[in-house]
Amino acid sequence: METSCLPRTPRIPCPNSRISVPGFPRIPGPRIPAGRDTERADMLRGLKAESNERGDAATVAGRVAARKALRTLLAQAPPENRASLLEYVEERAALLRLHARREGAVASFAPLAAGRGNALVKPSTGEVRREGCSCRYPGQLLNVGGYSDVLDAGGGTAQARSASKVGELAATATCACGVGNYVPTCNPEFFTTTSSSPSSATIMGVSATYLAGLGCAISGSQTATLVNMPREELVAARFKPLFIGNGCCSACAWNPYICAYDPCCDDPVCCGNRCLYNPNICSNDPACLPPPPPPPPPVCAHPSSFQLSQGTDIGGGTLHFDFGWGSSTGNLADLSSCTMGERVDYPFTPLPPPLPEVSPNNPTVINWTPTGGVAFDNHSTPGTFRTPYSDVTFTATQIYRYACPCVNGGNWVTIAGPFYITRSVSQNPNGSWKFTITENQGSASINPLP
Amino acid sequence: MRTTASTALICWALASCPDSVAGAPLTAFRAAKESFALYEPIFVEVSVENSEGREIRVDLGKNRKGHLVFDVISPDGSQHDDLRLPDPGAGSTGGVAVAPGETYRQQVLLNEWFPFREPGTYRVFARVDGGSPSTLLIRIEPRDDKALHVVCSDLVQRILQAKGHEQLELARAFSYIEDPVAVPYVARMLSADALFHSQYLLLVSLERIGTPAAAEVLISTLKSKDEDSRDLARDALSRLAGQTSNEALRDRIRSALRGDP
Repeated sequence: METSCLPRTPRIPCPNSRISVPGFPRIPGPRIPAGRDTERADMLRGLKAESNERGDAATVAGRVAARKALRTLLAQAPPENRASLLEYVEERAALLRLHARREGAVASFAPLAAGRGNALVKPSTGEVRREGCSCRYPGQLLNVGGYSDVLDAGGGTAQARSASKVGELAATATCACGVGNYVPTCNPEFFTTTSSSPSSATIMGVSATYLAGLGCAISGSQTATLVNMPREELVAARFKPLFIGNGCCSACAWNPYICAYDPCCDDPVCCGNRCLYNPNICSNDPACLPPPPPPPPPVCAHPSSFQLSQGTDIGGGTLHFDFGWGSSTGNLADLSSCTMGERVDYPFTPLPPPLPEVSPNNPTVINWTPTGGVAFDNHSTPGTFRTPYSDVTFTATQIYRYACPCVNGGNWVTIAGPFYITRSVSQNPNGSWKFTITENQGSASINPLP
Repeated sequence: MRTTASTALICWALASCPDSVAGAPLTAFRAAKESFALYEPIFVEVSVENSEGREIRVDLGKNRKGHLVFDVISPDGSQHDDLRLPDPGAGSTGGVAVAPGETYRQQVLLNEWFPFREPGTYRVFARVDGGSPSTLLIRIEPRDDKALHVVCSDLVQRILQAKGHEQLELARAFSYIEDPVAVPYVARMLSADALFHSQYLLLVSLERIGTPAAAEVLISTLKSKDEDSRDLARDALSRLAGQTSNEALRDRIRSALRGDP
């Protein structure tokens, strides 16, 4: 099952680096370019030369398998592990050579099942053990699948069996990641398994520690007791800590190609990279944005510095005023939540004769948003003056005011006024009539009235 | 449709007029949609395009609409010319600066100029004072309770969420829904305590509607904690009592104004 997290995780599918050993199904491993590693090539040549000292078919087959395994092992080993691997190989080879010389035999060795994603079949039982190691890091050696001392004691058949047996042992002794149900099996039990007749090897004193999330650390020493050989011999080898692999892990239940601890296992969608600000989306989601910064505390602005011009007669009996104001913060835009307005109260409505018969809302309320800073006011008296003319004076009261949520509980605050708007009709000395409107030292008139 | 408005009237600041003469701004009017429900607020977009290479200033009049003039031909052929907003009262100046290549846009409520009280198609000639008119065809659909409810519901939601100037203008638009359908919505808004000094517009609308239900809302407003609302409700009720031919309603209003329980 592919998941959305696969592109994120630099994990490559487990290569078919299946390694065949005598008695095991032979599955081609990856091709390794020749001459890629001089040291490795030299080592391989040396092994080959050793193996060829005794050349029966079974032995050669085992050696070929060993070489392939080693080649694969080396190819897959991360650079930092190659040196220790080579050291191990050479150490083992030297010990075996020593042993072989003492026994008059030819010794070789094969680190058998190694690599990643091996499918191993235990010949004696037919049990298939699939490695489900997660190959999260390309080129990294995940485990050492085991080792085998291939002893050539001079008896071709026995030797072949021995190789096979040891190979089987090696297979099961794998500190394999993901053997079986993918439980990391750095299980010392495997290292103490004694192979069955006709030869047996007891591998002792080896410790393998599974380091959660890291893999296997193999260290200790090996003592193998070989039986049914021309001469029983104790073969001792000393291990150095070999690997601390990085890939052994329990496989994810739904995706054997990733570790159980891989964040993708628990979180197939985001592989653990959840958006910090919204856990319902992944961190790479364009919508994963930090919340907007908290709005700055509201600016408690209110209109100030109200200025009213002197009234101007603009004709037709209309008295015009300009007025302006500022903001207590100096920024008119801060007044956007405020309302500014006028309220005009009349003693009664409609206006009395001979004033035009108009009936303004009483009070007349007009509001606006004060962000402009300037406004004007026209006091006019629309309509037709009623005849016969007579003296009348009618006074309305006007205030300018503002309301801001942060001032006076949002209630109105008078900023100018009260002003008295007086409309009057009076007679001129010449007997004609005139209309006059006054407020705040300004006046306008219609003189004479028609 | 675009017209070239009179530069003399468009010029706001005398100093800027010579610059604007070469290419007067293009003004255009466009209705928000082709047809409206009866009493639905009719919004028209006014745009002023500056195709000059420098900033221009235009004066749209008091509250940026005092210089907008409309002529309306009703479906019955009657003509209503030179419709302007009433001049009295305070208002903000209407100067607008338009940057080069930019277009200034604002919405105006056509109902302020003319009450579209009959279904049919109206031919509207819109202009900035002194300019050439744009023609708009406004189709008013027959009264539709359901459509009006939708309009009211949508407007109420917007009003209660809006603030400042926007709330004021939306409340103004609502006040032109002169249909009894609007009454419960007005009542809801008045009781929501979410209006910031725009109640007065809604009270005016109740007076325009004038039904007993509208009167009841006005009567309940007599006990409002907002002084403006109380006073305006009293004023509206007084007028309503003087105008209605419904005696029961008149008695009810007078009783309420006397403070009878």
